Amino acid sequence: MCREFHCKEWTDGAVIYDLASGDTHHLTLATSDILNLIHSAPCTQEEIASHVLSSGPDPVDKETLVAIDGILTHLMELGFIEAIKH
Amino acid sequence: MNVSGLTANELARELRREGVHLRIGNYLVHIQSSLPAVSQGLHLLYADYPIEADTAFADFHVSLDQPKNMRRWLAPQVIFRTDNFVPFKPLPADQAYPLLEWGLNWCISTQYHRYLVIHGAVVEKNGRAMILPAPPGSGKSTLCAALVTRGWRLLSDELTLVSLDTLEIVPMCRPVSLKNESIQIIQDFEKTVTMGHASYDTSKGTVAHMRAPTTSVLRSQETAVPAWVVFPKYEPGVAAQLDEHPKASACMKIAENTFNYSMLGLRGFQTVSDLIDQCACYTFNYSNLDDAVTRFNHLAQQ
Repeated sequence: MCREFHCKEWTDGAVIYDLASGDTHHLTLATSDILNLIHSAPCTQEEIASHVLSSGPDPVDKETLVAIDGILTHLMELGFIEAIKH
Repeated sequence: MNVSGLTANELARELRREGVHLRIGNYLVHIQSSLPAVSQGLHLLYADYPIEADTAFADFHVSLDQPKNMRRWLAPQVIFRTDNFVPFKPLPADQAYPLLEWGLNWCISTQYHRYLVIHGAVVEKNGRAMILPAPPGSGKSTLCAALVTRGWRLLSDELTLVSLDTLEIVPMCRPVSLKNESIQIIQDFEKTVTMGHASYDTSKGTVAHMRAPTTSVLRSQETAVPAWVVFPKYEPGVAAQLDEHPKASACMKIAENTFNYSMLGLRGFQTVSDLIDQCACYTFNYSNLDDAVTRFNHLAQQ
């Protein structure tokens, strides 16, 4: 699940405005990309990994999965996303 | 009629009796005070500003007077009121003029919500505005004062007003507040500047105000298009260095330096991000004002 936000991206990063809290956050482009993906529809970590794979030349390896996990934790801490059980 | 149309005594009398409606850019402030420091400061530093007669309206009604307590016999103080509200504790009477300027800043930054109000200086050349947001001590007012003595137009040395509809910068041209060493630095940099009375031992150290250039005051109704956001930093001994600043970081810094960002909500975010979209963003380290002016003149020609 994902909270409502407004996002502005530049080549060097993104800034997100949280409509619920009124807070503004500076995110990397990778983080905002994943946030936008989750906002479009709930998805699994594997689906996020596939999305990352399709947007870059490198294969998804363990390091990528760890990085995605870190991004998801960060977004959860900010309150933008919430884990849901199937 | 401009303030200069009155003698110092006439202005003092008007301020003491009915007060004076002073036109500063697109806002009107009604000032009342019996304090000589206020009338002398206004007479010297606001000489080019229009006084509007026959009006009861003002965006802000402010007054400065001595509190009527026992202390006035021992250590005189001054108190600032706006619409009978007292936002600050009384200050020593010697700080009456800076208190007027700080009070006006307070009125605008807390009540002027039809604009995005950024804590930063803003100057203009060839119709394009340069915003200089920076924390106190970064040298933004010194840099701003130097630029306006070398042909840049002063829009504001303290509060940048951005139209929420058009992103244009609306001038709020007032005297430039200088602190401590900056006062002498600017007097040495440009011998012809008019500097007001210095107030010592304020919360910011010694403070004096530099009169705004007449040409800037006369163009106080002309807006400007924002073109650059520059984060200045004074560092002794460094060569002038202008580097591109990442836009996402610039957006965050502007948001942090905007008085009414949270109050404006989503509109504030959209205005700040649109402003950053439109502007080239830089970090500027400097120590020499001549080098700084040369660098910015070059930027304005590009």
